[in-house]
Amino acid sequence: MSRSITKFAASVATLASGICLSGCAVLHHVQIGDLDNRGKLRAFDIKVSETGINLDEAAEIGKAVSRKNSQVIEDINAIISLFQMGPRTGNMVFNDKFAEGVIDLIYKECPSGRVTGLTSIREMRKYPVISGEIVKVTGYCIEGEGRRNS
Amino acid sequence: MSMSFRKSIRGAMGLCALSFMLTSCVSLQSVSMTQIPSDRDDKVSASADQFLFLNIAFDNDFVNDVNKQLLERCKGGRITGILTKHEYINYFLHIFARRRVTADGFCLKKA
Amino acid sequence: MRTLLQSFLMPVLVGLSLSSCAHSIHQVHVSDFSPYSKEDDGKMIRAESEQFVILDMKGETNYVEEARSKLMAACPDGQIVGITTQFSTSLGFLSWTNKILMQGRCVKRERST
Repeated sequence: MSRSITKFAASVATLASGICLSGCAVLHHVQIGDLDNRGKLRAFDIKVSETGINLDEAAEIGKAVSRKNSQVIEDINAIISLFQMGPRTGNMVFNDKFAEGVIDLIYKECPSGRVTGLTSIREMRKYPVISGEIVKVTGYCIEGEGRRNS
Repeated sequence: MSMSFRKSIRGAMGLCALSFMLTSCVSLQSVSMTQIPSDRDDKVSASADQFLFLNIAFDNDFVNDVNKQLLERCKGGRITGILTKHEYINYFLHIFARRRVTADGFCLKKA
Repeated sequence: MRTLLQSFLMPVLVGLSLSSCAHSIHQVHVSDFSPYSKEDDGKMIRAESEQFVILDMKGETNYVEEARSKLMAACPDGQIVGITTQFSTSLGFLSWTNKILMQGRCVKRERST
């Protein structure tokens, strides 16, 4: 009895540590714009994201869980791969419009439009099978009088 | 299916595979654009590339040539509306390839 | 019949149903906002272009210039600021579609900057 409990606890601990340790951040692209440091700057941060899926990892887990159906799972994964061919950055998402509202969000943060120091970051938060495909834009809103135009 | 028909099918498939391998394929790696001015009469462009063997590159200094070319082509002016493209050109099975950076913009010379 | 269904048709049916439009966003770039203008001062414009590619066989990337030309045509007499450039790919069957989306704010100003 105690042996089985120990075995169970060990497998749960392994799974939990695997899940915790496999979540990691990946940086794909970063670009930094002009920085106008001639006024009072208020930092802002905009993040939009979508859930990405890695079907290869899902297939591997499926095959490990159900050895009897591993061939079927492999066949399904192979067929899906044929239908989802192309260059990828991070994992694939099913909605490519999630980042279209970034400019509206920037104006919401800074209605005066006096925005500077924009940094555009394309990153990924990786977890088993799924991931967060993130577009982050950080910048500064120039407040107070300062110069109006560059 | 006769032997000669099978041979011709195999030959056609081989030819397709060879032509596919020999076609140079261009892929876009990154793109960016800066704000576009209202005065768009004077266009300037610059380009630099680096040949790669086995995708080995020892430096990225070729990118600096792009800036130098733009500055030469717009002396005493301000360059804006710059469209920057980074492309990868695969000539043969990624053994011979090229990286290219192009920048197209507008030169503004009025104060 | 059952074996045929299980071993071949089921994987195909499940695969087809799961393979709805999948995309990959490569990068999003936001340009500078100077000369500064308020949200009400201009109008939002956008331009899209795409390139259909079969098995990575393509010899040019002119769709980028096409999007830029469309954006400039949408604002012929003004400045375009705050340009967001999104580069993404829609994945497909042995092919894919590269897409460029450019959005910006068209601000009417005097011709010389």
